[in-house]
Amino acid sequence: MTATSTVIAPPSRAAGAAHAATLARERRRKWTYRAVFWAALLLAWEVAARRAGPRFLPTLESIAVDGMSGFFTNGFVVPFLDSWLQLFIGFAIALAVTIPLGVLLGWSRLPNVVLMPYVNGLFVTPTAALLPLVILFAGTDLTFRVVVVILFAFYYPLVNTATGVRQTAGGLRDLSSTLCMSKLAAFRKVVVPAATPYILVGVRLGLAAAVQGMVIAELWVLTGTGEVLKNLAQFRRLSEFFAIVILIVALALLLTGLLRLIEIRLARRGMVSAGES
Amino acid sequence: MARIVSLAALLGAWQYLSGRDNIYFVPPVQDAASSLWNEVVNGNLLRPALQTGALALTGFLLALVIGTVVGVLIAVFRPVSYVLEPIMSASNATPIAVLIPIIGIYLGLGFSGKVAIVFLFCVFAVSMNTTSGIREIKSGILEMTRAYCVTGWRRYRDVIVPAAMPALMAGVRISAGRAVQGALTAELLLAVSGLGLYLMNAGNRYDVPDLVAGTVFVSAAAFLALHLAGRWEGHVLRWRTDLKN
Amino acid sequence: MTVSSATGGVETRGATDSRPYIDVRDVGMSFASKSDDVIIIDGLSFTVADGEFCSIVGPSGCGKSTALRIIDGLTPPTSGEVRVGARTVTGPSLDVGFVFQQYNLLPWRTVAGNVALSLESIGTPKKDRPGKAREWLDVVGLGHVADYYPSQISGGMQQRVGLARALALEPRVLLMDEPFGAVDAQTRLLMQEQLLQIWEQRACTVVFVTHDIEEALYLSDRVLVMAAKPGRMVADIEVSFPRPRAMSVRSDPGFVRMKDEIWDLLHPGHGA
Ligand SMILES: Nc1ncnc2c1ncn2[C@@H]1O[C@H](COP(=O)(O)OP(=O)(O)OP(=O)(O)O)[C@@H](O)[C@H]1O
Ligand SMILES: [Mg+2]
Repeated sequence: MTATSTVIAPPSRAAGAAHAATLARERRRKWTYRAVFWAALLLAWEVAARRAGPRFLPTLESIAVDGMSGFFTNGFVVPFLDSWLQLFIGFAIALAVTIPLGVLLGWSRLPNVVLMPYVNGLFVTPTAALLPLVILFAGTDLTFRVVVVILFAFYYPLVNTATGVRQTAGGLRDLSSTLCMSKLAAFRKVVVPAATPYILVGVRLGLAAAVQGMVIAELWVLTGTGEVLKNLAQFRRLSEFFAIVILIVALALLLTGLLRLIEIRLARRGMVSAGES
Repeated sequence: MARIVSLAALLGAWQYLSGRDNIYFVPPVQDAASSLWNEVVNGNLLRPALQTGALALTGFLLALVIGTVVGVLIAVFRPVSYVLEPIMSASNATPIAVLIPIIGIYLGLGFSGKVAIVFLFCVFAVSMNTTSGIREIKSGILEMTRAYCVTGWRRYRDVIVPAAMPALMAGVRISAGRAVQGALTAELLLAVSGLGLYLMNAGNRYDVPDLVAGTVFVSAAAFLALHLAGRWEGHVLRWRTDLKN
Repeated sequence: MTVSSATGGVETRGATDSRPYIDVRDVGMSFASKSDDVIIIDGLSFTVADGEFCSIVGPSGCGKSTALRIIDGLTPPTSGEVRVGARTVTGPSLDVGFVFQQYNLLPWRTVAGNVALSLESIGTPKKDRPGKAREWLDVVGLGHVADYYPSQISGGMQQRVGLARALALEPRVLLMDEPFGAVDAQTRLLMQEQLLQIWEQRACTVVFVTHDIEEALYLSDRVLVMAAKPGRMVADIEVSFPRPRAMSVRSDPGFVRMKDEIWDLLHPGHGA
């Protein structure tokens, strides 16, 4: 959409049917553009791959066939699943801590004043820079990977929950007190539903950060999928490398997409949708 | 007041932990502080910091230029938005770090490979903010622009760009943080150098005071980068009286 | 003083005394909604003579702003056409100044900078712009806030900046959409005086949309009354009090009677 076309363009007198037809035509155009562009891109990749050779760029066919079958037959499935398991452990711990803490930070002022500087300080600090320190007290095993995932993932769920609760707490707390609800009932019936969209956005952003954290942690201590990726790159087994990258990205997109779907569902049911912070 | 108490409590807990024999990874507060002071004064921290800063700044500026151009193209030309928008929305959930093992193959392990990582960390935030900044210009402002025949080059210079500036500057602020993130990630994971090298050496020597000092220093440097970006934003948006407090 | 149509029939005033400068011919406007089109304006026709001051009153949502946009060329009508001077309107022109209901100032420019936008459009040399901008701001009584940003001044003041911006074009035609809607009552009276002075000096043609019947009668040569659903003209009323008009004309019995008549037209069924 061009910047100028924000101005309403009036359609002809021919009624809403014509309008619907215009929309349908635009949708077809969109997918045509996409199909053509993406096909061209894949073609360019293929041409480049054939000229550069498999040690530089794998062909699409080799990614799809050799790469994917290599993933299943060369024993990469176990580290792959292992990585995601660690990710979920870390992410679950992060959520279990940050969401209640976020509610607390949003609900009352004192914890907010006391804790937010540290939360922001930790957020500002490049998480990668903490790796050498974390390794000292968490070792290189499960604990390390879980801690790194938590460090990457904690911020958005925490801050979004706090924001969501704070935004509703003020106005709706008055409402609940005029309706003589108990504090607990007010919390359950008013604050929780109103803050849910914010929390969901926070969870989605946190999940994306957690995946990044998982990859970085494993590349640093060389375990799980990170180790596999590093070795594949070192020995230039690029079709398998790209196959795994595609699987990781696809899984990340699938999970965040599911969360997005829930957000849309809730928004449809009349809950306000929250912007990303 | 509450903050001072909490800071004192934190330092107290730190000091208590450092006194315990079985916890070697927490140095006494004064050791970390004196280590920080010495390493800054003798240049052991500042020299690598310049290297890291140059890396972060290069990638950041590159992302700023290219991200802005792409963002404008997406906002202005419908076909471009059709084609690139899926990439933009997918970028949020894509862990850029998976590319670290192969970036060396294409760009080498030197400066350009690391700049590429910083660039990828930043570019999507810049371009998505630019796009939404342009798209969300109030229709009334655009209508006024037409009514007063502000056309061609003037339309962009006097209306579109300044109107999109708040969103663009928000992108700049986010990217400033990501640039430092990306630089440290690249310096630790792609090819060790700069502050990444400093931290890794301190870790390998088990020199905990130096390691803590280095980490605090990196944190302060990141804070400074964000602060500078915020100052720049405040200057560019000085007409936004609602931002001042 | 004649009321040419008081009962709802559409009657277009013939161009007897002077040639029409703005000619709105059978204009219709509809917007597409989900299922079908909503007709906003239907068969709107009227003319405004060269140098005439013409007001439009009508209930909220009847399409006054839309009609003004169509006259300026900001929105093409779904049917019909508009002529201004010798040209058929296809888009905005620098001959026409528009004062927006929502001000639409550029928040990143100072008050003077917003007025200067017009000067840039008409090609005033750069060195003359600050002085000129200041002059137009003095006209609307805002010289003292020239260096403020719009967010630092009140809504009523912002609206007057919008007026200064339109005046700075030195246009043949002024289209004004509730230009004093946010201005406080006292300043409003002063602004009306000021506007009449400018209009008399510069001999421009004005189309002035307002909700204030008294304001319309006080300022205008003619008042057009619109009705809603769909937006259409229901009366075209000539106001022939001699000019210059004194404030006291508002208490003239004839003035009060016309006010009541227009009130009745806008609220059929409610006695005034
Ligand atoms: N872009 C649009 N799409 C659909 N309907 C619109 C659009 N713009 C205006 N309308 C409708 O057209 C009608 C007339 O709007 P307009 O703004 O011209 O009214 P108005 O007479 O100026 O009202 P007010 O006195 O409140 O300013 C309204 O019912 C409005 O809902
Ligand atoms: Mg209006």
